[in-house]
Amino acid sequence: MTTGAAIEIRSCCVGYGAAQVLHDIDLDIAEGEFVVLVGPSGCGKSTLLNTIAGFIDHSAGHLAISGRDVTGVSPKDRGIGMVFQSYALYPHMTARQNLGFALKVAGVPRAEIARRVDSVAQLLQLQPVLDQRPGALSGGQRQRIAIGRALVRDAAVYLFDEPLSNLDALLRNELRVELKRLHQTLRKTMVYVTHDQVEAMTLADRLVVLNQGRVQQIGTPLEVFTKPANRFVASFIGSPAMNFIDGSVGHDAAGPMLELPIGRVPLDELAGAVAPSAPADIVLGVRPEHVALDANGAGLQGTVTLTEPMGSQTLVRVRCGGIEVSSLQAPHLLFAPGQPVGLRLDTRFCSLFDRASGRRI
Amino acid sequence: MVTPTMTTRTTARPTASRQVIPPPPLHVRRARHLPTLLLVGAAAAFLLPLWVMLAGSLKSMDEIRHGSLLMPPLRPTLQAWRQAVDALAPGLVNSLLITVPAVLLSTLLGALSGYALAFSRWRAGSRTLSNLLVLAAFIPLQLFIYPAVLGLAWVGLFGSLAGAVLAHVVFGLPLTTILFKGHFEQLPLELLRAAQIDGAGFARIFFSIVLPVSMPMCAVVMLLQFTGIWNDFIVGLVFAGGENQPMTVQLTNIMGTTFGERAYNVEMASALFTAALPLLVYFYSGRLFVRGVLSGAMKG
Amino acid sequence: MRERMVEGLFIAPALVLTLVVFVGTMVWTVGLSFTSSRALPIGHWVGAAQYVRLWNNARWTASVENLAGYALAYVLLSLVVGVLLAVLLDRQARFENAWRTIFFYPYAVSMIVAGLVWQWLLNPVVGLQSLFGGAGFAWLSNPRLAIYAVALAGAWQSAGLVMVIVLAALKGIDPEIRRAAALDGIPVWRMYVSLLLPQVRGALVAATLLLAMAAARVYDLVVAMTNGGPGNATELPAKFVMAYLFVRQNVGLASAAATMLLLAVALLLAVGWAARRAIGR
Repeated sequence: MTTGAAIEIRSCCVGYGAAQVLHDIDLDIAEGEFVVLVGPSGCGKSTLLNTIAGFIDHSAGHLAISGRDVTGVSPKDRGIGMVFQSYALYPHMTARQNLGFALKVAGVPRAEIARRVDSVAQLLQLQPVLDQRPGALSGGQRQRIAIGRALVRDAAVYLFDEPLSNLDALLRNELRVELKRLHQTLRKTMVYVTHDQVEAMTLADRLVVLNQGRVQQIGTPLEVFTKPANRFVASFIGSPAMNFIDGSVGHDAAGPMLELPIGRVPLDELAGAVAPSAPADIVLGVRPEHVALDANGAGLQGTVTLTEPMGSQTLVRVRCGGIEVSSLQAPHLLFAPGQPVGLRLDTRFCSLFDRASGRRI
Repeated sequence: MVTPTMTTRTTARPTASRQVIPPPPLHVRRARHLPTLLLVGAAAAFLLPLWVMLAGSLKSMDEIRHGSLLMPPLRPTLQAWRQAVDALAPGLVNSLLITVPAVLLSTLLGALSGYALAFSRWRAGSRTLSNLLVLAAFIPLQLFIYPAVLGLAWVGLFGSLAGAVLAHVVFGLPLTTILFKGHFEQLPLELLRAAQIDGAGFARIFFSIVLPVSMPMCAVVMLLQFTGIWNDFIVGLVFAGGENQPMTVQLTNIMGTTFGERAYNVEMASALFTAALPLLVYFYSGRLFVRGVLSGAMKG
Repeated sequence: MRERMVEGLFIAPALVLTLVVFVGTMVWTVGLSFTSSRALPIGHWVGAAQYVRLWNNARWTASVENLAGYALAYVLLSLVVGVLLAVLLDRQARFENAWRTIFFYPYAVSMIVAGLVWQWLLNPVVGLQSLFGGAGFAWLSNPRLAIYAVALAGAWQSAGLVMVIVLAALKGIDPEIRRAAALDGIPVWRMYVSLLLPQVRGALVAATLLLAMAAARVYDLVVAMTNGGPGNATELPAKFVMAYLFVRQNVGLASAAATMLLLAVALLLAVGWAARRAIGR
């Protein structure tokens, strides 16, 4: 039954009947891995995290932490540490007391508590504020105390529930880097929940994309980005969002090709994916960075409708064959609305999805 | 000859930033002060009793007989006060001996019970119990009092200070519990979860986290209980026993036992003496007290 | 599990006290009302006999009549004054704390003290009426008007509470509404009557309920102010119960009276709850 993984989740369901929140979650998290649960609001990622923590009981399936079945086990006995979105620091205690509280409850001798608190404080650069109350500290410092409080317990698994959402953008980036460094130093198993896909991509060893209580895809950030398992994952991951073009598989003189509103595109590299039994109606997914524009008009014919300069790049929207396709261009290339351009799709990086099911072909 | 470019400034031309706005018409100005005037009048009416008590307590009986209660004392004397303090000193001690323990115990009990009802896992029972307590807060004391007397007599506490304290603690349970419960339910859930992960159990979370964080609420409840218990009459009358009567009961005795002409000045000094401590507490705590009363009012 | 035991320990006092004291004694009292108990609770079952005697008792019927008069005057006066004060404070933003302290302090004073001080104020010779020149109207000796004098004292005590409740509710109203009304040129009094006060219906219902409850239970005030006199002119149900329990030693009759009081309170609670539901809280 146990595979030596830090966390095993098998066919886990949470909720009953019409109010079922999580459906058949299957997930193994290896020791020392940094796994990020990501998805839109309401997808069930926080529910899953709280189920692992033990605040929510799973109604079906199997959940094991460090090789032990934890069904019915209370949170404090699961060998976990948790960092909450609102930090949940004890406002009437100093930072030092916050860090040491769990150890005090466990009856650890005072000298040992002091030692562990100091070592964690050193790791997170909290020494100067140890004797202050959370109310007197900044958001970033409070977050570090929250992280420190979890670390001091020396647990096997650490859970993070959107810890950076309450911080401003600058602080968020800083702490994100620190968290990654922390993980590299400590090599502890970490399960992290966020709705921000940039955070997810940069922090994760592996990503778990969730939607409506179901796992959509599990994979490394690169896998999820380049080979999204279905249309949802493809649209959720990556910014600016992927282009989706309805079309059908067909054949012409040159070989298999895609019949799209914008024109015909030879399958080339995608050909291998299209077995004879593959459905005819498909959706082509192509990221804006893989749509090339030629000012001289080589390729499929289209007209620029809108340009959105983003500083490091410009998003150019082109109307082609009755639909709008966006393309990411270098900032110095100027395109004007109304300008005729030629489109070329780089089929090496495209994805094909079955139009009915949304699944990757 | 005057050149066309020269203009004589005979009229004050309003510039953009220095426009003169005429004052509002008289009736509007008067109306603006109307609320204040009415408030001052109402304040006078409300303060009148306090003034009468204060003035009267400093007058001699002669002045009272021949003047109006509303007039200030022309020849102030502390004689009435001396008599009042003499007569009510034992009552003061009893009031303190009853009120202080009762306030502390009823607040603690309310906190424990409010916590239990807010977070216990026995949801059905908690909800029923909460509803029962809300109802109990409204039911007149007369429904409980006779069996309560019998009960206290049975445990030998009837007619004693301890009996009065116990009665106050028990009768105060509904209000204090409801106030605390409402407050605890508003605490952030993550705070409690963090404590759970840190290994704290039900009792530990209460004493180490919930209670310290709720100190302002404790102050509010203690204030309400203090005023309520100190000013109480019935419980003191029935449960404290003859030698242990609190000030409020003694006050009525003073009035009831005078034959012939009543010593109004002593009565007023006595009344003021009785009301002094709660009034002081009230004036000092103002906002907190109002907060407590509002919480109690809206919960019911 | 140990945790369950701890939880049980926390909830035990409330559970035991509620069941034994609040539910138990109430049931016992109601039960006593069906017995012939006099000085001790050892009477035998007499059905509704006590209730028959109760309603034939002149002092009780007077109490009930007086309660109606008292409650009406007390609740109305407290509401009117309280709402007026709240509106005035709502207009007058400065020194709110000071005003509130002044109008609310009577609530911090014992009802015994309140009864006493108003007794002096209503003294025909040296009281308030001395302002208007000497021996005037003996309110408290007038059997028809005495109860209203008591209601006046009660309202002095409670108007501040109504003010506090209504003011808090007024403050919760979206400030933009007032600005819009001012822009539309709506006169101030109209704004309150048509726009703002309707929005605090919930608070008004809560205040009315509290006042009605207090009126049903009034005891200390009457004892201090008139002690039920002159005659039965200011007798009230709560006082009746206490008198028959401890002075006249007729537990059965007193319990019947107490049960009637309970019914009145239950009725008030039901009405209040229905009103809350109708308004939508």
